[in-house]
Amino acid sequence: MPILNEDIVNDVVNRTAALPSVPGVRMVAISLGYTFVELDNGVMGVCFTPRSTNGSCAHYTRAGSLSKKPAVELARLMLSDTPHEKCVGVAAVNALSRTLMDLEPEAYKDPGKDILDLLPYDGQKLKTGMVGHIGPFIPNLVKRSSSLVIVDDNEGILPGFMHNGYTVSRDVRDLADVSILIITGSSAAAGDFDEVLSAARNARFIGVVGPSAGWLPDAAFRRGVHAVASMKIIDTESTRQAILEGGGTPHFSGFCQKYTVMNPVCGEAS
Amino acid sequence: MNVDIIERLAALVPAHLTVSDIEVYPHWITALSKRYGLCCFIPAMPGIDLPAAPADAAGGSETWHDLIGRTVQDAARDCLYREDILSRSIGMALLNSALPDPPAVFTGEAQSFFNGRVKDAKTCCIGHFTQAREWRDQGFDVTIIELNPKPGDVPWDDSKPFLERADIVFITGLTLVNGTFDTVIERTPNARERVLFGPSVPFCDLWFDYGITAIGSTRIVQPFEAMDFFRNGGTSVARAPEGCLMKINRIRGELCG
Repeated sequence: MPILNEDIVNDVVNRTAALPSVPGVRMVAISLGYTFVELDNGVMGVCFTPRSTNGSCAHYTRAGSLSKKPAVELARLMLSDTPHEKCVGVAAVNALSRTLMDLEPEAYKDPGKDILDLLPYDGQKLKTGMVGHIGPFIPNLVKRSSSLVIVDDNEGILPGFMHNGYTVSRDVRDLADVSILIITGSSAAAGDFDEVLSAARNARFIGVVGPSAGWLPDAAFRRGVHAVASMKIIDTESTRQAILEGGGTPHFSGFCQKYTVMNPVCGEAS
Repeated sequence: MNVDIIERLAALVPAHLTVSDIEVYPHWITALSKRYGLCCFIPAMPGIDLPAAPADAAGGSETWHDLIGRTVQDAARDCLYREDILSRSIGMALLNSALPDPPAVFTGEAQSFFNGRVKDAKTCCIGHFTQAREWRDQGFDVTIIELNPKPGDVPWDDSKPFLERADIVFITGLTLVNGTFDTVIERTPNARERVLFGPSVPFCDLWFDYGITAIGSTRIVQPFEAMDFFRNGGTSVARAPEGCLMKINRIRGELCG
């Protein structure tokens, strides 16, 4: 089986090829907080921009040419080894995925519930894991879980037990006994998603969340993911401005509509 | 930059100019008022005790939308007094978007005007730029001083004796962001030429009052192409599409080095 990112790119490229006309690229921007690809059908896809650790002006050879490339070619950059290029790829995949999902609304129906309300705690205190730090989710998960471990390699978040009730780890093996797992879209895009799934072998529910997870969910569903929750950008112009000005999710989420797509095979999480 | 420099720079900006746009990229900041202004953004500077971004940035990010519509004077002053690299870089880009052009500007690579002079001088270059390395490789008495030294460079912390004996000093505009500019001036009492250069340098004659003898900066002349370059991950000015950026320079009187 190909890795998740390859599978996603293949899905998007193949299904885009069947469209009567493929939208062109209007703008590509790698901003400080987020990267976006805007298509000329008005659809925008975004991806979290990893923090640059580069202390110099090392040259990026494709600078200035990305907006002139076809959307499908940008989508293939999701498989790049260059972090910023990979972001452009994820954003392009998300823009094309949104275009494709809008053409098949029944196949990607939103149950109309927030993903936190879909987590199958059923009144029990269960071990929970998260890959990538999603601050707004933490109080809810700490309250409902017997323990919460967050795997994150952000140097700004030190490993260890936090006073507000969760543990930060650098090691995906710490997810081995979690029952519920939340993976951020940016982790899925940038990290080794397949390794995470393999580590969390006892998870009874796996959800992928975040603006970067706007890709076609089918490939993740084939790997046993139960739900993918992301954002559909409604006000492209305002989102573009917020991102170009350096903003992150809190600054553009008001211009988006949250959605969740459930895995039809998993049905009710068990 | 010290209070005196910040206040004098802000005072040079026409009071009526307001901020139209700010764009923040991993390597660059652009600001729009009278024209597009530019500043390099280097978030990680070894040995510099400044955070990359404001500590209160929501979700790890900060939007600069609140600066839009404010006067450039006010917005730039606000940013330059902050204690983080991103805010200061935005302040520098704002200045570059609004400072009036001094007379007698000439174009070209600031360092190239010194090609003949470095042969017979002791030269220090603050920052590992290509021309410095080429001069050093040609056997000239050139010392490259770096916060993040490469082989053959002198670490900033060990630079004092090299700076004290220097006849010519090249100072990157990043020293204005990271707060080492005043120290460089203090440590170069014998320099006949101090060249302040780089895309971040606010381009004006004020620097001549602080011991600088030549200044070099970069101007955006084709905004559409330039913005596409920055938005697509563009880094080095030298690699920007031809004609979209222009290096501009100004000297104080006759070069004497």
